[in-house]
Amino acid sequence: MPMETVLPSETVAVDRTGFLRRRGTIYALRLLRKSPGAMVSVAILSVILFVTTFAPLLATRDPGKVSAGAPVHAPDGAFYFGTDRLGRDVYSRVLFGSRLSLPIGILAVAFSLTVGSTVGLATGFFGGRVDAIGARLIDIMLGFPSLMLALLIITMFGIGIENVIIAVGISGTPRFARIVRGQTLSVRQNVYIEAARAIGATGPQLLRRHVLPNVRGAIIVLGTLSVGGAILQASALGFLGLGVQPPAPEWGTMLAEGKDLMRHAPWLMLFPGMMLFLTVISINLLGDYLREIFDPRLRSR
Amino acid sequence: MTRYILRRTLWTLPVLLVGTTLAFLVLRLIPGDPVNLMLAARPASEQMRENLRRKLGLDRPLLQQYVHFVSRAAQGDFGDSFRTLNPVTSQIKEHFPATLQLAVGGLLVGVIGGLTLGVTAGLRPNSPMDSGIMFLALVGVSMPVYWLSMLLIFVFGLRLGWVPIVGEGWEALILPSFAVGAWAVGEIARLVRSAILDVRGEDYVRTAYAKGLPNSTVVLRHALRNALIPVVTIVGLQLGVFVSGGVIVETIFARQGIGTLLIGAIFEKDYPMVQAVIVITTGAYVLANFGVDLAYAVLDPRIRYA
Repeated sequence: MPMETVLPSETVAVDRTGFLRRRGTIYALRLLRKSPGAMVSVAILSVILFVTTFAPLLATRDPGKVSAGAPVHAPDGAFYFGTDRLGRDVYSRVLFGSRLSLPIGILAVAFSLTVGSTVGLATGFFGGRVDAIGARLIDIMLGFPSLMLALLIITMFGIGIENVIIAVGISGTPRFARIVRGQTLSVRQNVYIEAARAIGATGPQLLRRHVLPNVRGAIIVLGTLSVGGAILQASALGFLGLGVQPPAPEWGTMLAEGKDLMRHAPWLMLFPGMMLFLTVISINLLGDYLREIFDPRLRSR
Repeated sequence: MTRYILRRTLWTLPVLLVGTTLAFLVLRLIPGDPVNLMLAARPASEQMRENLRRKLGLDRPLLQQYVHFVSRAAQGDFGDSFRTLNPVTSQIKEHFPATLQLAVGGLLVGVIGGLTLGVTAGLRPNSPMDSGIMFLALVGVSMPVYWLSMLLIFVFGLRLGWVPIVGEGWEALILPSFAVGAWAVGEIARLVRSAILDVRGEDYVRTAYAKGLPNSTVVLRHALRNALIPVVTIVGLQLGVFVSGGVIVETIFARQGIGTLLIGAIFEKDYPMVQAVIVITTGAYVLANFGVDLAYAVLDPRIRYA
């Protein structure tokens, strides 16, 4: 990875969160400038965020409008990405699709992050019987293929955007719990925890002031890396017809619509897939970069 | 070693039990009466409903139903499909080979591709070759499996016509295997590369070079063998990705496998089928993980005694 040159080896063991906070935003930006991969990813993500925010202005047509053009019309000057079977403008639909995939992915990760980190912090910090039971539960949850878990939840709760978020969120929860638990266990061993306890800090104070700041890096990194996966999983559900339902311009749903017309109208599957891929690859690049910054030792996980 | 195997075997039981419990709850938590769902397609009298309810055991207390379900599941009996009215297990048996072939194909692509790329990159860190491979690996892990499947079908199946897209022969397995394995290629290549970088500095690697062993021997016999341990772990942890990828890839390539069966059953509200597929895939997954752990213990003696 090109990011390796960014950090001098003697700073490797330094607590990265504090390190960055002390050096400030400008320092973080300078680090970023030295990493071409991260710069590309930030550039692409900025474009995607811009597109998401200004989709109504950038779109050339109403994404839901049927017969905006001739059905299954190849890309040209009027319809940049062509039209689909119902004559809807693929370009406008792809733009509006980011307004579904991004929030769904982020909300699902927010769910996994909140629940998983809480469980991980509690089991790791309190130890004893809480940890014994918590750790087993986490292992059992990790024992399920995550798509199976998501499909199971969809089967029980039914199809719908909220259920997609819950399903993807629940299936991502055990990973957060496991990693945060591991980090908490190792932070708990430190002398400063003992010292804080000695001067009379209570459990909640210890957690908030000493444990949480030190596991925050791991949570941020895993959170970022998980958004890509969550977007993929949510649109996989859409693709299977069990996620966001047509006519919503969700990328996975659009890909499913394009599948059958692939031979004659490859643009129907090319552009939504491309947006999905670019979004996920730039989020993953950013996650890799953050991982290098916060904790180089996390790299092999 | 025997103690390790025994302990590890016991550990698979709670996962299986939770899987079975969740599968049981599916039918109880869904809104609506399963009997109405089952008879939705046919006109049915109240008497018919009552008989069916009794036949399914739905008139008994929940706990009794649960015990009944688990004990029957343990014997491989998941009842009859709501749609075809045949035992679901026999349908699953028919669909199993297609899924297994795809999983093995994907695993082969992932392991062979990942090892080759990872070793190549790890031996020349920061070279253009290394950067190229690492970019490829990033593409592999970021690629939506359904999009990759469609691109493969479009380019190699439709445009170039090199390989068949559907069919019985092994040629029809090439494209789906690449689609399922692409993610693993990326993940394994990254891991192998960093593992090789780690062990390159170890004393035993320096010793091997010092005694004049050729480069290839040092890499294969000394560096790679130790670098393999994290690879086996990740393959074990990520078997679920093969399962998930398989479900999606099967539907795109129209392969008659467990995934196609499951998605169809979810749409048709064929709950016995959903239950059976969940329990059986969880079982297969747990079993595969068990195998991976054993391989792990064989590769690294430290694990057994931990």
